[in-house]
Amino acid sequence: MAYIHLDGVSKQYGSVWAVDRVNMAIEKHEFVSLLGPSGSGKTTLLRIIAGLERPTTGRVLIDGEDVTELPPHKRGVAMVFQEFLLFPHRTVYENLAFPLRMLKLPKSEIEARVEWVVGILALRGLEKRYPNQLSGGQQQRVALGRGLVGRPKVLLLDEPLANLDRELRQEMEVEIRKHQTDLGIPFIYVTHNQEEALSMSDRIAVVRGGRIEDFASRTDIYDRPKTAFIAQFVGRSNRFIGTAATAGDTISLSGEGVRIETATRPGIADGERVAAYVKNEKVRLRPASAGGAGAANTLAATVRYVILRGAYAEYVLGWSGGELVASRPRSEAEFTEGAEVVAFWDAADVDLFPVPEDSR
Amino acid sequence: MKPRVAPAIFLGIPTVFLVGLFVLPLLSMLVLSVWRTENYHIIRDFSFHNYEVLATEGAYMTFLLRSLVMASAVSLICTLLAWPIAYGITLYGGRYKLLFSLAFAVPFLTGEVLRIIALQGLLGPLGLLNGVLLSLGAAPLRVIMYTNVASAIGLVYLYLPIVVTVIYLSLLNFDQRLIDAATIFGASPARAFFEVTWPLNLFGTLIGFALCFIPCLSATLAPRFLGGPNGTLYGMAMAQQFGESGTWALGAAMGVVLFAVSVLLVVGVARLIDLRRTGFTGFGRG
Amino acid sequence: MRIKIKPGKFALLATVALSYLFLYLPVVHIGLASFARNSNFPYPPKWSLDIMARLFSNSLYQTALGNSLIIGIFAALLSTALAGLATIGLMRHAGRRAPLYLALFIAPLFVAEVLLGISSLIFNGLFLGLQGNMVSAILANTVHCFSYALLIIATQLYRYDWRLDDAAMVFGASPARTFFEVTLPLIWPGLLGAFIVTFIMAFNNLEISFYLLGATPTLPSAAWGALRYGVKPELYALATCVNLIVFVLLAVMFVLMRTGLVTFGHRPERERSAV
Repeated sequence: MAYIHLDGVSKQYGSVWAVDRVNMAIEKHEFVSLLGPSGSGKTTLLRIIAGLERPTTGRVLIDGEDVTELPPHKRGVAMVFQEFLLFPHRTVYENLAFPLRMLKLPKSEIEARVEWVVGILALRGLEKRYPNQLSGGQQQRVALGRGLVGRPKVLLLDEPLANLDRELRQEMEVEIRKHQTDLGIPFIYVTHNQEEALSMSDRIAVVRGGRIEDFASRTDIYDRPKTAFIAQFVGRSNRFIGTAATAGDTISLSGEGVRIETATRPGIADGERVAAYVKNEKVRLRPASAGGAGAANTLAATVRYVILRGAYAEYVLGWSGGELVASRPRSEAEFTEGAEVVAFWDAADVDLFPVPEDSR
Repeated sequence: MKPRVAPAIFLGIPTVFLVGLFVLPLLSMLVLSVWRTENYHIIRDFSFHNYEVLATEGAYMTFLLRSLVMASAVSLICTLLAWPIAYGITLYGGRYKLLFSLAFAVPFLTGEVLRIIALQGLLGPLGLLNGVLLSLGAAPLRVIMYTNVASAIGLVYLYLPIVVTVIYLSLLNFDQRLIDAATIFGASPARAFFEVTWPLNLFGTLIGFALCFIPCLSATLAPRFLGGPNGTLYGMAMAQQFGESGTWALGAAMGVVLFAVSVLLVVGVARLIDLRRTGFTGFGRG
Repeated sequence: MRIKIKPGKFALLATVALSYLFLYLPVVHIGLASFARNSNFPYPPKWSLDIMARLFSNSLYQTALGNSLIIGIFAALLSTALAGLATIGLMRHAGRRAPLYLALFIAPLFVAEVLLGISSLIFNGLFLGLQGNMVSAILANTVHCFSYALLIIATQLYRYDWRLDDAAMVFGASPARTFFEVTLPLIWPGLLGAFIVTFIMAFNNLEISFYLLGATPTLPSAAWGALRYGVKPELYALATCVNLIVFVLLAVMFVLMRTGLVTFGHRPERERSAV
């Protein structure tokens, strides 16, 4: 039996199902991300686990106990909010002590625990300050500390890094993961930022339209997307649309002036409209002079722009069917804007999905 | 928390309170207005007799018209004065804004009777203005003693503070950076005012106007103590039905008329304007 | 934004200055008059406490003061409590019906005081068979004060971030504990402001109390009764005393709002993220 169970959980607002029949099982020690675009229902799902929303149907079980009817303050969970939501009329110390006071711990125990959190989150010297006297990063640490200090059964994090700048965010990602490993309690982390989800999680649940699109290890989600939506939403990909043609154990897609070949997939019929996705970093480049354009999984293109991303260079390529992005390590041969190139990729790196009827 | 208990407490109690002590009394006034009073006794016969009296006896129509003119004029003057005052405080008040705006509330909160006493000290026959004139050897100013002008000055004095406060609050919640945005895109200060500031504070202005108009329409004290023999207003005449003359039913009918005019004003204004274009931001969130 | 044209600024400031003069000239005039022997035209004043002494020895005003205090305190307590409930209800529990409730809750603002007084008189006298009494007067004043209290509390609560309640509950605080540990400490300046303003309003009210009290005097109705026989210096003294009290109370409120703004000016940077 898993540590946390969501059993057919749905939430209806008016006529809209914000969360639609979600089943999830989360183990103790696990770091799980709920990844999805805004409005997908991931925050509602988190608030249902916290008890801040009551599900319309379904059950929530934590540590074997059905907590569906329990109000938030009786669930023994903790939460880190996007806007931090530190109590503005309380000092850092008092904010950190709040969950412990609610647990009615003795004063000496409260002091010891706050001391412990102040230590692990590098908050020493800030205890007497008020939240509005702290920087964004410091507020974030206090919010995290308030989440950890009561040793909750589960820590829920609602886009906690969304208000921080990029560098601080990457620092905090390492720190959050470290505390999760040290404490050994499950973290459920809501984000729309795939980098955050990929950097910290053991498993990722991709949420779309109130449903779990897929719930799998982060490598599976990234490398073996189960649906077109995941292929599009996780990582950066190039998309090709065409008609499928099967021949033996290969399937090819033709259209738009390029031929894409890959191993056959179950569920894709001959003549069906399909979309092929190739991740930016799987697209490789060679100079046009090296030849080979016209074969399967290759196309001739011109470098339009070069965007430097530190260790990587992103090439925006123009070709007869539109634009294509290739992300290459800077250690490889570099191309300048205007250069004629051949872009190519391995058949194994192609993800193929039927095009849903309602898609463009 | 049980989902249904909280709304019952938080919304139910105030609603019951207002229905019992505000809506029901107004309804009972409506009921009484179609009954009759004879020799201080109330006769429970349904008739529109009281309204016929109000419509046919010339004096009541005169009072009503006079009240309407008076209330319109006073509200207009108050609004016209309140705008520059409120705008001046927001622009130049600096860190003393709060002090300036509270200073306007002091006279408003002192109560009508006491303010009329203070006004008599200013305008009355033995008041400050005439005292100054007399000590300079001039004749006393007749126009400010027991005339409609004196009533009007009194009403402006009574209700200017509330109009200023309402418009000031509206301006305070108005995002001044929008004016910057307008000027950056080429609007002159005057243009920016009429394109941005005025429409976005129109809602507050109308509220201020209404909160001045409605009590002025029903004014009883100012005309009685400041106005002269030709200064009787509708509210004052109504109050007399409950005092000296003892004709409660007729008074109730007059109350209904006043209430109806006020409601018509509010409804008319609300229908005339598009709330979304007047800076009305709604109430509450989430 | 700043208007650089000097004449405009001058005209604006002159209007402001003149209106303050208009408002305060009578107040100051009767203030001087009530501390002078030459009370009709106290320039320069011949200082004297005679008028004040006469006021304080008048037993009618003493009874009236007591009654006004009772009405003021109870009406303020009731209207602040009810308006606090109503504001929280509007913001948290009304949902799509919020405009309806709001319309009902602020409707008393748009009904003249004299109509409130008269209609309550009719309801009590004719339909409930009640004689004039203090409880009726307090309740009718509460109706009038309720809407003002609602607006004052709403301005404070509008800045309050309700998700702080979520935070407290997630960390183990019961709803009651959440209210006393988190909500109340952050909104009490609004409640106190509402209490002060509604107290002053009910204390000074004539037109509502008058119709519901019969022969029981309040300070305004005693003043009104005296005014019918012409202005006497005692009335100046009475008005001055009340002015001083109002002034002190609003000064307290000013200090509160000042500190309140500094300490409780919490405003979340972002609105709630999409569901």
